[in-house]
Amino acid sequence: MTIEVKNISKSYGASPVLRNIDLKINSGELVSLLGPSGSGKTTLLRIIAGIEEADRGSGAVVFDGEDVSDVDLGRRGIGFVFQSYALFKHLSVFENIAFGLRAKPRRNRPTEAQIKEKVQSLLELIQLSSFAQRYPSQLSGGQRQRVALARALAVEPRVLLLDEPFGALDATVRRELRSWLRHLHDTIHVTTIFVTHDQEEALEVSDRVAVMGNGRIEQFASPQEVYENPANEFVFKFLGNYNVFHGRSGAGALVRPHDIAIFRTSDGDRPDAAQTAVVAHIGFGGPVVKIELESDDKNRVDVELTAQAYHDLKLQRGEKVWFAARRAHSDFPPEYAI
Amino acid sequence: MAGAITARAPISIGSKRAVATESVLARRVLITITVVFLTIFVLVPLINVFNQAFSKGFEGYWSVFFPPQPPDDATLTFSQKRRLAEGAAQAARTWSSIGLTVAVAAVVLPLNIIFGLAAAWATTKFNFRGRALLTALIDLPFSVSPVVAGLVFVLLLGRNGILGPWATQLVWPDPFSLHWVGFENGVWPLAFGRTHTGVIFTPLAIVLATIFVTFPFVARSLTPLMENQGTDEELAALSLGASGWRTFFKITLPNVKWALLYGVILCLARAFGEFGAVSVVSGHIDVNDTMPLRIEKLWNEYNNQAAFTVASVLAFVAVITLVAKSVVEWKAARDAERTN
Amino acid sequence: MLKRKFLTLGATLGLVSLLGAGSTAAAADVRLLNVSYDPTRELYTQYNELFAAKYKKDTGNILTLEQSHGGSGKQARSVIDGLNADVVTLALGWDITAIERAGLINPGWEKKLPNNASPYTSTIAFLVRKGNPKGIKDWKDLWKPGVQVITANPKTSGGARWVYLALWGALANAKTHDFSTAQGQAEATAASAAAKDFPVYQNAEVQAQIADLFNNHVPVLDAGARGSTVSFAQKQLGDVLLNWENELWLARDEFGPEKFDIVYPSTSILTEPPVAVVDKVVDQRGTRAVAEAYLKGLYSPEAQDLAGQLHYRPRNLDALKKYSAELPNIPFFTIDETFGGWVKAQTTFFADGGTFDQIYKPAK
Repeated sequence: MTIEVKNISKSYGASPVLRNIDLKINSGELVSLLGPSGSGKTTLLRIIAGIEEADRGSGAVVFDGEDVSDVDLGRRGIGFVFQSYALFKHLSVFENIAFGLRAKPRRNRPTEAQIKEKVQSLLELIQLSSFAQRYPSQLSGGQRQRVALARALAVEPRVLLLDEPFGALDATVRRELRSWLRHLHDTIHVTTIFVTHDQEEALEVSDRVAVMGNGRIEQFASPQEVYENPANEFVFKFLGNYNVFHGRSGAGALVRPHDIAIFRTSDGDRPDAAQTAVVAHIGFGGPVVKIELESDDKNRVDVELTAQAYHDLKLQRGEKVWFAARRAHSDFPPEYAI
Repeated sequence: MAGAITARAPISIGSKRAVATESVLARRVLITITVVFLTIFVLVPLINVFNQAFSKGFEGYWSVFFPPQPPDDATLTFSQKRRLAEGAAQAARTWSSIGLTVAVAAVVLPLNIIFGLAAAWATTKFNFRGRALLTALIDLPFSVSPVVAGLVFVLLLGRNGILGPWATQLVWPDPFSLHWVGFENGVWPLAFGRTHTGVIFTPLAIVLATIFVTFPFVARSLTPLMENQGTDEELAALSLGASGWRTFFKITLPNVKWALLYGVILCLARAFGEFGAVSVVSGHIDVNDTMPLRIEKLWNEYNNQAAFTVASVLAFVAVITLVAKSVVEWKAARDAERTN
Repeated sequence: MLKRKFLTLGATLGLVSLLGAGSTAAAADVRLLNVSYDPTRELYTQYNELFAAKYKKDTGNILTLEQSHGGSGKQARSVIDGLNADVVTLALGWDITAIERAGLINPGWEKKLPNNASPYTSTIAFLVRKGNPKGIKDWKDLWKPGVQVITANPKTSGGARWVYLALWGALANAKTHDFSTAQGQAEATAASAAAKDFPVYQNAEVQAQIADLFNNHVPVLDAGARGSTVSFAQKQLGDVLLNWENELWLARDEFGPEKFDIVYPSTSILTEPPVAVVDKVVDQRGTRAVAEAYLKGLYSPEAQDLAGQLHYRPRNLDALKKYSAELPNIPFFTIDETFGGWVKAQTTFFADGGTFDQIYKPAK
């Protein structure tokens, strides 16, 4: 199902949260809304779901060409997964998943046997078949998240909306669930929008990423596009760590830590622009090694090297080295400087 | 730079008992003060109530509710007959007061549950202008003297009150006088045996006054819990296509059931025990006596033993309330623990 | 679907109430509410039984009599506020006048029944501890050093107003009559009708004496007559209780004759608790006939005997004689002859800013 958001605005009192949002999502796409807190991403998701209403007369939410702005939350055919999971504490896992089926109007309510079958298959999908009779409190965070997802999927929604689905989980589980979600989406192909503040998550999982800041969509493109060709300084800064180098003109150049090369003093092939610095700190991070340099003008420069490159350089703390930017971003329109 | 991961710690409802680290002396002093205080102000009066109630033995206690019946063939003097008749009349009044107390509670309770749920829902799950004012208003009966509350109803509904002209003419059937009359008068076989005119100084006024003094209890015991739980579960149910009613009965209500029951218990205890507000609007008519009013009348008639006997019933209700309250608190704490 | 169910429910309820109301009108169950003051509870409990039985015999219908008892002034206030009393039987005429002024009782109520519409009388006497240790025999003994007097607050209690008038009249040597004879009663009635000016109000000496009594001999003023009895009898406060005669007898009966003695002063006031039909209520409820019969019945020989039995003074001289051992005859003065009636007494003595407010300065 395609989802179109047309010129949606929302404000709480005098403070605007969303400003004239336009967004078009293709059928079967997995899209993430990525942004810092306060960027309006969750509000946009809730407006698409029908939990919140856009400002009066501001625009429309359109599902498959049909304006659903005035359609109730329960009739939009969405599956919503809350950041808090919002599992029904007093119901078993089975009953949680079956809730939407039992709530259907009598004439299209499935029989008890059909419900059982459907719930069983969903339990298999989320790999919790033996947990049917447990209560939410007896599950781990990741398991709860999967139950919440299964519950939303049970009513066969036309669109799946996830609000910070992995926000409350620890790093390992997050990574696991992330790829699980990707595979799940590949299997069921339901149009999915999920909200996250985690760039890595958004870039890894999504077909397209909508980077949001200050109530606007700053860029809506594939992960590779937004990372490599950020539309503006905000997107660049939000998508990863960076160093700022001030040239003589006063304008700053922005450089990703992995776009900086380090040279030993003895190296002859270093570029002319290279500067000298001292190795202040070395942080091992598995495949990536984070080096902190202190430049001659007492600025801190973050550098990321592959483990291989680090090995080859044999850096020591306190050692004097040269560094230079391989790639810099300096051509953003000035109004986005923050 | 990179957005921080907001780690959400689970909110702890059931607090673990703090391990006291104060000195032994401080602990002993505090415990002694508490025990002495409770003994003087709670235990001794309570024991005294039962002591006075049984001052004429178990038979005396029993006869307050079930006056002695002489055998049919007994020859009694005039004054003996008088005493028996008086005893029977007193017992009948006592039973009438028990009946009215229970009836008022039975009417007030469901209304308070509905109001309490609505008020707690409105003030915790919606954000609107004047919400703080509404929350403060719900607490009003806690800070207003019950006597003043009763007088407000008199001033409002009395003959010279703002609603007086309407209220004093209002005729309403006594629901407890509904009885079977057969089909002779028409198709409907039931009829009311009596009607009341007016609101103030009738059982209706007692219901109103009791509602006034009890309505914060349910709302107040629900509010903190509902605030804590937020609206996510309800929204989840709605998003799954459940109707408002289904969401309420299947999700909201089970989530707050212990808090609701707690409020109900407090509300019942107050409804049974309220004196001030009810006294003002009862008009001192015997048929409008609730148990506390009956106790006062017995006391004023120098009938101390009977007064304490009825009081002991209220004290007994209070003890049951206390036990029920503790059970509910324990269950609620257990549930809260299970949730986390 | 749900909406339709609600509609059906509503219609059913409407039908129930309609039919219910219809058949209520046919029911012959009559109810009468008598709003009275505190001490009369037993009197009216027994009289109600008597009257209901008579009503059943005469008409075949069931009469349910409801009672309400409380402080006389408070009761009058409740009736004004909407308590649907068919009849009021209060402690003093002023309270009925208050209801009259609120437009609920027609003027002239005191003439509708014999004897100023008070079917029984009482008086103010003393209750002392057994053996009368302080030797209190007459009004003047109340001023003896160290004597503590218990009475209620005249501002709030009807009985206490009678106490206050009894004190004032006795000190001022008010003209008395012998109410145990028809001739004495007739003289009193004539004297009341003829009374024009009331010199007692100007008696500064009496006022000073009463001020001294309330300020130096009265340790506590209870709000009601019953409360003052409790203070004296149960809390053991004071040496002498000034109260209704019937209230003294009740206390003596309840706590035992071995604890208290009743002392009659040389003269006292004839207290006349009046009764009246509340015209507005009985006309609205259609209970005028039965309400009037109820009050008239209070003058019947049976009711008069009952009053005597319960230590009220019957108007009926035969009944009065029958109980003369417990209700000894002493000379009485009346409020009408001595003070010019309740309206005058109330406004002069007990209204806000009246004499009582001026003299009573409770010790801090």
